[in-house]
Amino acid sequence: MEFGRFFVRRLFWSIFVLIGLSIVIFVIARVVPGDPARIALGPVATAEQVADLRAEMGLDKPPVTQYLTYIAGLTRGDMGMSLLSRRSVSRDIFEVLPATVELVLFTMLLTVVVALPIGVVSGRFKDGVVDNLGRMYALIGVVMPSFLIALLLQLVAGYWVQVLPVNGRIDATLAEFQGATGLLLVDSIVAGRFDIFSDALRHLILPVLALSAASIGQITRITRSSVIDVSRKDYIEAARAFGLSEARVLFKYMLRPASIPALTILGLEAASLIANAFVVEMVFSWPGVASYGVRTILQKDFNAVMGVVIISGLFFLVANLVIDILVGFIDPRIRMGGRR
Amino acid sequence: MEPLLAIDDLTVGFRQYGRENDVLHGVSLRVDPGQRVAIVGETGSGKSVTLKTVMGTLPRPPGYIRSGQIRFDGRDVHSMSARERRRLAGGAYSMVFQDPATALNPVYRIGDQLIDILRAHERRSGNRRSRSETKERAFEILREVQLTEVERVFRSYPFQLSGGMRQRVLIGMALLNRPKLLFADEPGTALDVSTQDEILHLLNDLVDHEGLTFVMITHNLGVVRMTADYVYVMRNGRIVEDGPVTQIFEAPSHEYTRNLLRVVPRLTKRPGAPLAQEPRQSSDNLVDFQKYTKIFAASRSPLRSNRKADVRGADNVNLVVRRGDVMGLAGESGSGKTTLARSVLGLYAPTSGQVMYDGRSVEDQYRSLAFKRRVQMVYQNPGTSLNPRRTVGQILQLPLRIHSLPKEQLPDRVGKMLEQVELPRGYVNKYPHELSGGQKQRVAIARSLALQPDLLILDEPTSALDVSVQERIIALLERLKQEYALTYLFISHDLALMRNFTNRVAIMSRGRIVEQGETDDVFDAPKHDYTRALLSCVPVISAEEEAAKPAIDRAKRQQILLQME
Repeated sequence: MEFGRFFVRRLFWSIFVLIGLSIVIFVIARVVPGDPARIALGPVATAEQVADLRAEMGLDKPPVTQYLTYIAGLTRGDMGMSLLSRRSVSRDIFEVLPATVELVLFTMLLTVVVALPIGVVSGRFKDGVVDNLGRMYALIGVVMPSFLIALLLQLVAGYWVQVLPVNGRIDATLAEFQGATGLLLVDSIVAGRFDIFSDALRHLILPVLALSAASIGQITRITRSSVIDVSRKDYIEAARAFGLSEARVLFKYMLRPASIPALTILGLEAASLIANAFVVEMVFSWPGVASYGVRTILQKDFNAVMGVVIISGLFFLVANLVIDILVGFIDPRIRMGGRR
Repeated sequence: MEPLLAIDDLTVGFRQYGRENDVLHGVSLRVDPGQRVAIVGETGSGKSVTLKTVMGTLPRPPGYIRSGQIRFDGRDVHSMSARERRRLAGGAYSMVFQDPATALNPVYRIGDQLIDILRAHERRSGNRRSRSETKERAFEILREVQLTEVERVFRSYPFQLSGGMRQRVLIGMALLNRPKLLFADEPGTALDVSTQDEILHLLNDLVDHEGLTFVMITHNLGVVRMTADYVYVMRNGRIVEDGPVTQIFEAPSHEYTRNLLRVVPRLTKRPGAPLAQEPRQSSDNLVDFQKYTKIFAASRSPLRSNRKADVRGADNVNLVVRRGDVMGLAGESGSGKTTLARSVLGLYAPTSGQVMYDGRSVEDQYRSLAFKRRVQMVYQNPGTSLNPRRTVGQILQLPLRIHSLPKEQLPDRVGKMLEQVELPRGYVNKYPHELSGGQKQRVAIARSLALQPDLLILDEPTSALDVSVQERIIALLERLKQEYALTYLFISHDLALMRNFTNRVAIMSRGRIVEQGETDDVFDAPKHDYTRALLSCVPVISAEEEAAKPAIDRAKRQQILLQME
């Protein structure tokens, strides 16, 4: 009951954020210099041809009308037509979306699985071996740009040692495989094709490593400092004084309150994951939304660019919604609006 | 008789950045079964370190035990393995934590935490209870600490309970596994006097009924007199004096103990208190609350699951502070003292009524620099009211610069300001963290006096300080008042402190002023039941004061206090 209200409240605000985002992007797309119709048709097209295309795309209407038309389309899943592929933007995006979802979700999963335990151990045994190694890794991971890490990984694992594929999602010989969701790992298991599963997994490793380097570093440090913070609290001393076992103190009384800041940051980290994905996908020729986005930006295909931004924004919102709900589940004060 | 707890020549140090620093020097004490022992001391006396060392919660490193022995029930605790000690903690002995706001885990339900404590000891002792038996024991303990609606408490998260309820839960937690020895860290001192009084009575009753041995550490001598029968006085890591409670209070042998007893504020009139003595005939109203009401509206979003009620910070307040007064504003937390103080500064716009300052409405003038020059505030915690990145000199210059004093005069003025509050001029280049609490508060006072104000609002200026420091700050305030013809609006929850510092007091509860008048009248012949109830709760340190308290029995008092809620 209380949780239902919390969820509704959260969802309600997300809608406003999405509307705001769409307005901002729409305005930016309109003020960028250059007539999209002219760019699409090229320098040799006649003025009538350009005017026709403008009319076809609704560009001759007032901006407010254009925006409302766009939003109306959006609610039906229609993001307009791509100027270059001359196909529906939604279709283009939904073709490339699963690859990116797979990449980013795997990265977040790896981040949580690796960073939380290391952070807890670093915080509990402050200045110990794990803490020092973790600190070194975090520094390198955060400081090195993800494309550099990507290139280094390609060099090491693809060229010097040659253990892992460095390009694409799947081996060319298996490329004709099609599944219902587009998520190769899921589809291959559903279809019972474990050769494809392992091949897709092998393709995923390097991009995920490159993309997760920074976020693992961040989350490790955040977890560490919040564990240290929590370990100084009276309720931890009390738990020990009441005779609870050290394991219970660490994994129940400390971990739960300490995980709240880490999770919150992970949600925000989703934004930089998407930004970094643009670079990492390019380096690994990963056929995802980000590579698609880079292509469309370079060609000023503005319906497609808007589509990519809206989808990225939506992903960010959903990720944060999930995180907020998780945090609300962990901390009753947030869920029930108590004082912190 | 074999003592239940014996500490022998205990020396504890801290090792930090390669430096070793002893904080306890050869502390010895013994606690016999059934005894009630208090360890008394001020900040840095080592009483907390002693307690933590015995409980096994001293952080090690940086702390370490250099030498000494701790024996509990004839067994050497210090040589036990960590696992063995954990078995004793919360079982054979346990502890009541000081601050109910921080000692409960905020993300688990009370019931969860109680059951964890029960289970931890069942597992070790081998006799497992069933689920329902465990739960029944948890309910039983909640009833034992006189909580009502135990099922609701059991299901609640800590933030859903009041401070007093949480303190009771903490006591329950300590008693869950029927310990022989109960420690208490500053019992009740984080709470309002009326709640503190209830908690102390509850602890006394429990100790009696269960035949517990009780050891508490505290800085509050009034609390000691109420609950202990044997006292150790600590200072700078050493025990300076020990003895039965009557001996310590009536015939203290050590200089330090005598001084400590001297500086505790008394509830009876002290001859020679400068401000309370002074007759004042002035009819010149400096601050005048006229039917002042301030309501803080609760948020009304339909999406909020828990709609809160509006809070009446001030409810139809009529109060006058005359020029030259030391006006005391007393009341428990949430009674509206600070609301009134901030209203004088113009920080809150009235919901209705008005506040006049020197004949003009505050609302009309609070934006002007001239007004700000005349009214200044000293905050409760000098640790947070001074900017940690600014030197004392920079802190003191700021008001002068805002009010555009010529630059070349600044160093001299700052030096004079320091002298005014009895600090050496050389302190200009120090940072706040280099100063003690009392010195910081002196700097804060100097800052508030920088522009020669008429009115100083003192918001619990000494409640974060030790009593001996408090005494010196109060003496300073008394001197400054007379030297600069100041008027004070003094906010405090400490009625004993009010007795000899103020010449008029107002008692507040739930935004209302329940009683106001000359300090002597209010303390000697309180008219309102609430004032009487509140006065009767104050822990005091002499029979004389005890006799001066309004006679009112416990049941009646509870009833009055509940009515006011």
